[in-house]
Amino acid sequence: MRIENPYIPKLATIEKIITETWDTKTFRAVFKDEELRESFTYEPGQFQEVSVFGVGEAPFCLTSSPTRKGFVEFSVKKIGSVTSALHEIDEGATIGIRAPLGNWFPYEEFKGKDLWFIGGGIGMAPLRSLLNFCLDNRKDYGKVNIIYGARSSGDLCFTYEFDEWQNSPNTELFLTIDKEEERWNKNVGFVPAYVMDLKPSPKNAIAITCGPPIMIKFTLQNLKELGFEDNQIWTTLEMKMKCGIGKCGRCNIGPKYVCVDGPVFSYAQLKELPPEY
Amino acid sequence: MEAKVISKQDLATWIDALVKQYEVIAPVTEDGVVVFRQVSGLSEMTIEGMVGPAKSLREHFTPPTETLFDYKLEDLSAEVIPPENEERHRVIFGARACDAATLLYVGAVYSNVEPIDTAYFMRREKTYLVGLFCNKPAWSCFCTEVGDFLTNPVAMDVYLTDLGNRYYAEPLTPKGEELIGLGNFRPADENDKVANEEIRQKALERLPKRAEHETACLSYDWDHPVWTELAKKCLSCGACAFLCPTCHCFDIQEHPKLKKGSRYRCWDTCQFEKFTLMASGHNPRETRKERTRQRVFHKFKYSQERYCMLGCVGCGRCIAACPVNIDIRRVLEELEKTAVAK
Repeated sequence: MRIENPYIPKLATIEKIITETWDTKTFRAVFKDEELRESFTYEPGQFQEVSVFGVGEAPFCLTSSPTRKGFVEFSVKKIGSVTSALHEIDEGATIGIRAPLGNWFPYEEFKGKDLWFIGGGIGMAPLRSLLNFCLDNRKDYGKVNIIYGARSSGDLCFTYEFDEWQNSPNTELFLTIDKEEERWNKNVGFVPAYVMDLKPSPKNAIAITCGPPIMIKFTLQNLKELGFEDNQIWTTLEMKMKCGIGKCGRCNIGPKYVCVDGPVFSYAQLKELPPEY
Repeated sequence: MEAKVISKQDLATWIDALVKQYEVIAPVTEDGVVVFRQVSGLSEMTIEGMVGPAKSLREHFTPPTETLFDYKLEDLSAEVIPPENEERHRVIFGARACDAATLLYVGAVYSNVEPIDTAYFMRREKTYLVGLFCNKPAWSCFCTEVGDFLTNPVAMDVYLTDLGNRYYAEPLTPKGEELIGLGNFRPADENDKVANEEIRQKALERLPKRAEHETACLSYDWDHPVWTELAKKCLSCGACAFLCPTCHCFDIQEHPKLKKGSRYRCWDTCQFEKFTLMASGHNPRETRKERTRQRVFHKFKYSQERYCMLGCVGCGRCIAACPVNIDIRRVLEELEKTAVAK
């Protein structure tokens, strides 16, 4: 009898590497097992544990949309040992993947509503999964607004999809960077401030935000000021997740484990938890 | 199931019979402390007068380091080699009621969400427990404050009580009856039953009375001054967590060689600063205040909310081992005082 060992990753090949910015790359991986490649599916908001053999394993959100089949994508900012190793590898390399893990955005509940995606920096990666999912199911959702900010224009990821996003029906992309730059004709200012300028209406709307903790904090405050209820605001959390399956015990916030009860939480759910995230 | 009795003269032959069929793990004295190790006979064991084993059974269910898989690398490809399943069946002899009760808790943690932790459950399925009643609880013991498993044992197959010149044996499972069948036991008579009852009562008198930790804990105070007090004393040495039978948190690491290596897990604790430190530099539990609170809340609050049971079996090892005399019983008392006052 061999029962599945939950810590063993599935082997995958890096098919494509996209250099997003000076410190961020997006990886497209395909499972080596053909059957798995066909059958593998996930939900927007879920994450995966990526193994670089010889270095270790780290959690990354699935930034691709499950509507686009046959591969998974994840974006990696070079910051620690696994992320640095990923930045060193070439197309064709073998990695390990344990996925899908965690919960997802309740996109059924979002149907018929106006959506406000509010992302900062690499925080756009988990939002992109849901965003492309919604654009691929365009008729199910109201107006789609994307507020996306970064430190500089060179820090913006997914620039190659901006046209697709902008040109989708009833969709608007609002870009902002922290400081003035030559030839930058979009907004300048921090994301939370830009949210206040754009004044999204809370009426029949959902806000989905992800970014650095400080950005999330002020974005939440501002959304509240604009009249958004706690259950209209959704975010996805980062935590040091090792096992990804609720066993190793380090990603808890009170009685919840981010790896199995999250990473997606509404602001209403977060308010019930201790402030340890 | 009928209680039986075995004389101490016959104990050695029973152990021999067990050793023949199983790997037997029993308390032995190693470097002056009692720990559970594989034995080949009674003569190696420390059973008589044992106050309490210094270490729990934890390492026999979740080893301090455990290989999750090996791998080989070849140019751009990789091969993953899962570990061999352990085929041995084991008897743990002389297990304490608290350590046995731990198995229910850790079992809940490792099966609460799919997928279950297969390595842990494969070991558990192949392990039978012959428990031993604590005639002389240690000064740090407080199992009666967190449960009644000392007199109503859980997760055991046989429960022994030392009656002086003989052992009283209660089979608790069919497997327990089978194990008893391997020794020269006789049915317990009225005298044995009375003696067993007396010894249990005496032990219970030495232990603290049952407290209301279950209910009081749930209203525990996030900003209680006791957390600052604890943070001042605590050294973050992790002794409490590494000796705790219910502590189950682990790290996953890699042991790389040139073209091969292994992924392993090893014990880790929320008392260490890096436990929650993220690559970005952000740390949700940055100070000792947050980390000591996490340990107490995890055992007495979050565990109840998540698994509907306490994450503490009152073995008192953390109290006995703490180099700065932090006593979790006093911490709970402090918390309960304010919980009652509210």
